[in-house]
Amino acid sequence: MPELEEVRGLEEVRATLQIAKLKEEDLLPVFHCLSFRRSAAAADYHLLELDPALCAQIQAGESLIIRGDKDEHAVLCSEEKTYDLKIADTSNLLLFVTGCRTPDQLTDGPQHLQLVQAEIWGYANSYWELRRQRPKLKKLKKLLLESPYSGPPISTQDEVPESKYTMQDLLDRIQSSREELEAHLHTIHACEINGCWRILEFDYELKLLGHVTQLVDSESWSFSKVPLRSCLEELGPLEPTAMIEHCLNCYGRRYNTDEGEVMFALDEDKVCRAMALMLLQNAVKFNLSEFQEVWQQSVPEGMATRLDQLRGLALVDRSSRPETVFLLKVEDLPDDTLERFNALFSLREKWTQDDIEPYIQDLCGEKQTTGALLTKHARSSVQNGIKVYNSRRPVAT
Amino acid sequence: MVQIVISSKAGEGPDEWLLVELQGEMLSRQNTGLAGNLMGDLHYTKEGVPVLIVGHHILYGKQVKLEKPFAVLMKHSGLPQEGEFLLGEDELPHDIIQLLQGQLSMEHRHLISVGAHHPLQSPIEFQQNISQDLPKDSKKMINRQ
Repeated sequence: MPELEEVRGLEEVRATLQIAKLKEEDLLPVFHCLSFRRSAAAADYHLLELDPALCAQIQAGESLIIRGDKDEHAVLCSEEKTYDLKIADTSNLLLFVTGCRTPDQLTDGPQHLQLVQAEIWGYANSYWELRRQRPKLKKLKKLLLESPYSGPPISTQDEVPESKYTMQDLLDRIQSSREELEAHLHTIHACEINGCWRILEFDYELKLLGHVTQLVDSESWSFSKVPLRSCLEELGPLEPTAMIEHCLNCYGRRYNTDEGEVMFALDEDKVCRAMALMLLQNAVKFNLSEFQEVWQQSVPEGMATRLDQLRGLALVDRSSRPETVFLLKVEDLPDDTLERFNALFSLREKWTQDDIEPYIQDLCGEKQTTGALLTKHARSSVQNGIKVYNSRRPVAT
Repeated sequence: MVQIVISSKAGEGPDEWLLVELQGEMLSRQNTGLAGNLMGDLHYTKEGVPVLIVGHHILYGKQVKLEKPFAVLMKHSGLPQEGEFLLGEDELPHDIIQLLQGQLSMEHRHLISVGAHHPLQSPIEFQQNISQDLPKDSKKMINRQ
């Protein structure tokens, strides 16, 4: 029974129809009386605009989580995506009503007259719009770097109990969906150790990789056929087996042979990048040709270095004599689009699309291209027959 | 960080929800608030056109399929106070979400001419938006097909 002060009867409805000069025979035989619930109040309800995919997920029983950081806007997270919440005002009144049938439901409906008491549960002048956005993941690396892992502790005194985060701890602090968070953990080669997610100290990561590549070399294995079991047997005495396997997962692709043996195909590009990072992080810049020589020597025999492996990691300066290369990691640049472009143009006045692309790729929204981003945030010109981009505004140096 | 879980609890709350959009405001005539009060009568013509009688107003409209469905969030338990962070997912406050199945968009209207001896007494007064006369684009309308 609806909680109403009074229930409107058929006679009253008919009287109103008459005054309104509407004929009963022109109408479908279901009359609704709309009333506000006794407990109807705008404040307790929020309207949320969904996309069909989210709608389907909710109907399937999935949950959404709103995550709000004190200084930031709230975001809405499904299992796999993150959305910005923005209030949209409308000059119209939106009522949400229950117990109300719609014309399409009544096409072959009752022939006898029905009077339905429908309830207005609430109303709103505004609703929340969702806009897909990149999750705020910069914080993740920052949190994990509070306590990087550099191998099993020598003594119990080395173990610092604080500053370690479980998956739930991370979800509680970072405005991201779970899947996007997990994907980023994988990208930064983080590892779950004793229930907490840890990032590896880079030197330690290189140490592990060195063990693996040296073993591959001494066993004369093919890089695409590295057996897990042998690795764990041979390297187990040197490092925890979980870490060896983690290293293989980070730098290779796991697969099973027909006999069911677990193998890894080492990724040449990833290994070469790690070696480049090792070399570049120790200098402001390198002479390009010298770097290329040392770099090739540093990678396992049989692997080939290529400059395009450095995309998003380092930048080549072809205008200097001699040509140089220096470290520039995309994850060290600002997250915000405007700030990112500002930082890039402060570094270098004019960029070719090929050079700038790896540094703006992650800024692209769904279905947005880097070309579109450049059109929006940069000005183009032609220099020496090549199209270059520079800042639209004076750059703060 | 504040976290609120939103889920649809099957069986909790009514099944069929409808969104009705009106160009105007609802006011309580005697300042008693809207809660518990009758609003108006909703009819459909045989052609399926919704007709809403609110006080002196007749509103006509149409049934609209929402390109982007709406959901209603209802508070299930209170929002946490400052400092109540770090809760496991099961302990977080939950809001219930109800999906709005369809929308009636009420637009055109005219007034019912009423003689003084036939007061259409309604505790709710409906005020049409003055911006009715402005071109359609200047009003923010919910997305529709």
